[in-house]
Amino acid sequence: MSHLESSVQSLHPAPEGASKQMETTDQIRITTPEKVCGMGHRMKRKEDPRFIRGQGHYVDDVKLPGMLYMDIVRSPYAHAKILNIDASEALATPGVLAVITGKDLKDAGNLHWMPTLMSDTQMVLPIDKVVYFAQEVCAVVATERYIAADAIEKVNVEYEPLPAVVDPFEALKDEVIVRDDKEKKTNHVWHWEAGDKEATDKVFGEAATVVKQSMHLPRIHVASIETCGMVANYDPTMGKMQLYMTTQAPHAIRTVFALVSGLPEHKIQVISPDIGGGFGGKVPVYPGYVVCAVASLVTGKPVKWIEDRSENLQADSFARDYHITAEMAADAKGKITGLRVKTLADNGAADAAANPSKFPAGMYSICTGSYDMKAAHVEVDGVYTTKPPGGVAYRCSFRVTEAVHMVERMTDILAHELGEDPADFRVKNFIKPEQFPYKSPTGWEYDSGNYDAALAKAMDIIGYRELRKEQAEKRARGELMGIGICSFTEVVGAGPSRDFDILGIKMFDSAEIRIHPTGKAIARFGTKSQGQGHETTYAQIIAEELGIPAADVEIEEGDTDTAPYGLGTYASRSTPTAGAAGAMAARKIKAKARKIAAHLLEVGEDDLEWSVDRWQVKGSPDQHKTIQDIAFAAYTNHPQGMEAGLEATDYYDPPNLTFPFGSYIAVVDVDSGTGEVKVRRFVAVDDCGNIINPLVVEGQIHGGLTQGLAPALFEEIVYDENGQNLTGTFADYLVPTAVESPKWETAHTITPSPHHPLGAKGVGESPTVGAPPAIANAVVDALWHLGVRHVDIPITPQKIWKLLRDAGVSD
Amino acid sequence: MKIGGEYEFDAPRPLVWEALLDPTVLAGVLPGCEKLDLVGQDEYEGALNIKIGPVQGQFMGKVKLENIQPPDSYTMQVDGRGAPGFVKATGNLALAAEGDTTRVTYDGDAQVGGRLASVGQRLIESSAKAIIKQSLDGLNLAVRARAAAAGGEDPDAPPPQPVAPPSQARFAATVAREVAKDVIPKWTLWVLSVVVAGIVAWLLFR
Repeated sequence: MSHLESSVQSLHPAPEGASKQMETTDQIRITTPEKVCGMGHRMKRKEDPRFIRGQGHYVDDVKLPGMLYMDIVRSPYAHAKILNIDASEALATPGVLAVITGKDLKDAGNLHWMPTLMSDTQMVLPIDKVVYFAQEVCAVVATERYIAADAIEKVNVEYEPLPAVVDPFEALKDEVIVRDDKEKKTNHVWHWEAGDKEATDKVFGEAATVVKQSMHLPRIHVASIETCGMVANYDPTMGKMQLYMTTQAPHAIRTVFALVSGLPEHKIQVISPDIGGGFGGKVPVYPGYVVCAVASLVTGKPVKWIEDRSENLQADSFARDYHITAEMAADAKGKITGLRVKTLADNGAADAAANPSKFPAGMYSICTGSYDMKAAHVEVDGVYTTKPPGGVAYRCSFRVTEAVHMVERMTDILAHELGEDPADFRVKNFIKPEQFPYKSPTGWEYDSGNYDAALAKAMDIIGYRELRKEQAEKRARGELMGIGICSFTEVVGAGPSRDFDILGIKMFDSAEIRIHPTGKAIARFGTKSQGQGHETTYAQIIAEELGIPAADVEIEEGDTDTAPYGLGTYASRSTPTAGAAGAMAARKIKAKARKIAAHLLEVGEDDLEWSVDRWQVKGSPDQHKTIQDIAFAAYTNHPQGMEAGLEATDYYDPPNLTFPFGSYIAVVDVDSGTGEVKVRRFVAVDDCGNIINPLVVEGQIHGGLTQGLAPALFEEIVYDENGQNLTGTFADYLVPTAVESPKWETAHTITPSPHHPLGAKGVGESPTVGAPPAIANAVVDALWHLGVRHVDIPITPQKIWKLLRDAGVSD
Repeated sequence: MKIGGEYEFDAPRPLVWEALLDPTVLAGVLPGCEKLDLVGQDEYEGALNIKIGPVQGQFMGKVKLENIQPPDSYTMQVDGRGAPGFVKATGNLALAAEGDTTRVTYDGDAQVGGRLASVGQRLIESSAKAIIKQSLDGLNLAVRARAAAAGGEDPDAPPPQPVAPPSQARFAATVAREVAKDVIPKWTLWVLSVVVAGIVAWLLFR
C-alpha cells in the first residue's frame, strides 16, 4: 500500500499548543460564556423546533403548480430477459401521459446507462435484461400519484427467466454471467490488497498460536424513515433544471448530472431540503432520479417521484455483505503479531458503492484496529451477483464496520483460546499513548489515541470485575451470561486530496461565512445535514472562533446555487472537513477584523489580542472593539484601501484523517430455553477529540448504538435461491424500536486530534461500528464453555437455540 | 415452496376424475377465479384474483396437463403472472378408489416471485393451503351433487345448486385459520374457541 506513506503535512496551521502526542482528559473544553455558546456548550438543536412540530420541509413536501407524478414498474425476477414491454393499456388510462422505457432513454442520448460512483456502470432502465429483483424496468408519468401507481400494474412486461446467482462463491464459478454487457465475461470485478504479504506470512510461520475464523456480515439496509425521492422541475424557457432531491452530496450529484445528461452545470440546481435520515443510502444516484429528471425534460413540467417503503427496502443500495476469513497470530507471550484476511465483497449487479476511487473496499485496511502488531495482509475480491447493486457504507465510514467487527471478534477468539481475560488481553496488545502518531502495518497514520484510558473508564463504569464474578456464579448454576468488549478505532474525515477523491473530485469540503453589518451572520457549507444537527454545531464552531452568539448564526446547506462546492455528508466527515473549513474561514475573518479594530482603535495590529468576541489592546482590555462593532465598521467605516465587507470562504483539504476510538462493554443474558439474547447493560465510552456540542454527540451515539444493536440482533436482507427479496416490509425486515433497545450508558474521554483546527474528530458512526462486535462478543462469551467460538450476526433466537440444542442445553 | 396433502372425495373415482378435468367445474370452485377456458389439448388459460395480505391483483395463468393416466394420475404445470408477481409450479395428482369414495393425493413445488414473495411471503404458504382446501371442498360439493344427480341415492347430498367460488371474506377466514394452525397449538385453539364463544354469548345475552 502506498497511500499515506508521505509524511502528514498540514496546509493549515495546527491548533495552538498542539503536539503530536495529545493529553487525554475527561473535561470538556469550554472557552466562551453561555451567551455566546461556543464549543462545549450543551446547546439545544436549532433545527429541532421545526422537526418536533412536524414542520420540516422534505422533498415530498415540495408541491409545484402543474406537477406530474411518476411511478416505476419493477422486475419480479432477479435475472431475466425482457422480451417485450406492452404499455398500451397503461397509456390508455385517463391521466397517464407517458411511459418511459430503456429504449426511450437510449434514443434520448444513451441515457439508459449511467456511471456509478465507483466508475462502474449501471442500467438506468434496461433494454435487454434485468439483473436484480425489483430493478427499475420502466416508468409511468401521470397527472396524479394514484393514477401512476395504478397504471404501473397495467404495463405488461414479458420476461424469459434466467438462472439467478445469489451466493458470491457460486458467482465466482462464472456459470451464470451477471454482466454480459462487459467485455470480460466474469463475475469477478476487482481484487485489492493492503499490507505486506511476505512479512505477514513470516509472522504466521513463527507464531505460537494462530486462530482462524470465517464470518459473514450480512446485507442490511439503512431503512431511513424518509425514502428516496425527487421533484425535477425543468423550465424550458430558461433552460434550467431544478432538482429537489434526497441526497447527501448535492454538489457532486450536480456535476455527475451535468456530465451524464449534457446539460450545462450552471443550468442545474440541486436542492437537498430537509433529509429524513441518510446513513449512506442517499449518496448514490438511483435510476429513479435520472428517469424523473428525464420525465421533466420531456414533459417540460415538474415531476415528482417518491419511493414507497418496499421499493426502498428492495431496490436501494445496501450495506455490508462481506464474507470474511481471518487469521490472527500471537507469540508465546500472548502478544498479537499478525493478521491475515481474505474477503469476498458481494457487490450485487454493479459496483455502486460510494468509496473513494483508490479504495474499492473503502478503509477496510484499518482492520488491525487498536492493536499493535508486526504485520498484516488484507485481500478483498469484489463479485457481481443478481442482487441490487450497492455496498454503501451504512453509517460506517467506508467499510470500517466490517473491519472492526472482524478484528474485535478475532481478538476475542484469541483471548479465549489463550485462556486470558478479554479486557486484560486487549490492554496487553493496545497501541500505547506514547506510540502516536502510530503507523499501522497497512499504511495508516493514526493521529492520536489513548485506548487504555477509554477501556479503563468503561470497565470502571460497568463494574467489570464484579460482573466476571457474577458470571462465574451464574455459570455454576447453569445460567448463561456474557460480557463483551469492543475497543474500536475508527477512521473518518475523508480526506486528504492526495489520496481521496470520488470520480476524480477531491474530497475537500468548504465553508463560506458572511457577517452582516449588525453583527449577525450567515454561513453556508458544502455538506448536507440529514439529522446530524449541523445548524447547531457549525454555528457553535463560528461562535467559538468569532464570539458571535451561535443563535445569531444562520447555517445553510444543500442548495448548489448558493452553497460553496463540497463533497457532502457521509462517513463522519462533516466536522473533520467542513467543520474545519468553518473554523478556518472564521479565522480569515478574524484576521481582517483585527485590521479594522486596529484602524478603529488607532493602534498597531500587534498591540491587539483576541478575547472571546473582541480585539482588545494588550494590557488595557477596556480599549476594545467587539466583533459586532467591527462588523458594523466593515460596512460603514472601513479603512481606506481595504475592501468593504466581512466575509470569507475556505476550502479545507485535511492533512490527515481523524481516528476516533472508544471502548464499549455489553452484558447479555441468554435464555437457555428460547435462545433469546437480552442486552442487560451497555456502556459506551467514546473519544472523538474535542467535543463541539455534548448534547448532539450523545444524541448521535444513542441513535448509532441502536443502529448497531439492529444488525447485531435483528436486521438482515434475505434472498431466496431465486434472488427474491423476502424482507420487503418492516414486518420482515426488523428494525429495533425503543422497546428492544437497552438503556444506553454513555461517557467520554477526550484526546484531541493534533491536526484538526478544533482538535475534533468525527463521531456519528463510532457507535454503529462499535456496538455489533461488543454484543456478538458478549453472546459468544456466554456460550464459549459450551464449545461455541463464533456466531454470525444477526444473532437471532433461532441461531442460539440451535447451538444450545446441539450442545445439549436446550431441547 | 413445497405443497402436499390428500383429500377424500365422497364420490367414485370416475366422477372425481371427470370433475378434475372440467374447466367449468374448476372455475366454480377456485377462489377468486374469474375465468378458466380450455384453449388446447390439455391446456387451460385463466384469470385469478388473488389477495394475500397487502398484495392483491389479477393473475393470468396457463395450466398444462401432462402424463395423463385416466383415471389414476396426471401432472400439472402452472405458469401464472400478474402485477403482484408470478407463480410457477409443478404438481402431481393421484386418485385412488376406496370403495365409493376417492382419495386424491397431491404434491407439488411452487416458485413464487415479485411482490407476492417479498411482501406476502409470510402468508403465502397459508394462502396456498387455503386455496387448495377451499377448492377441494368446493369440488367435493360439486361431485357429490353430480353423483346425486346421476344415481339419486345419496340422501345427504346437497340439492343441486350453481357452484360459486368462495367469497373474499370466506377465503380470508380460511387463510387466517391456516395461519393460526401453523402458530397455535391445537389445544390452545380449542381453549380459544371456548373463550371466544363465551365472550360472544356474554355479548349477546347480557
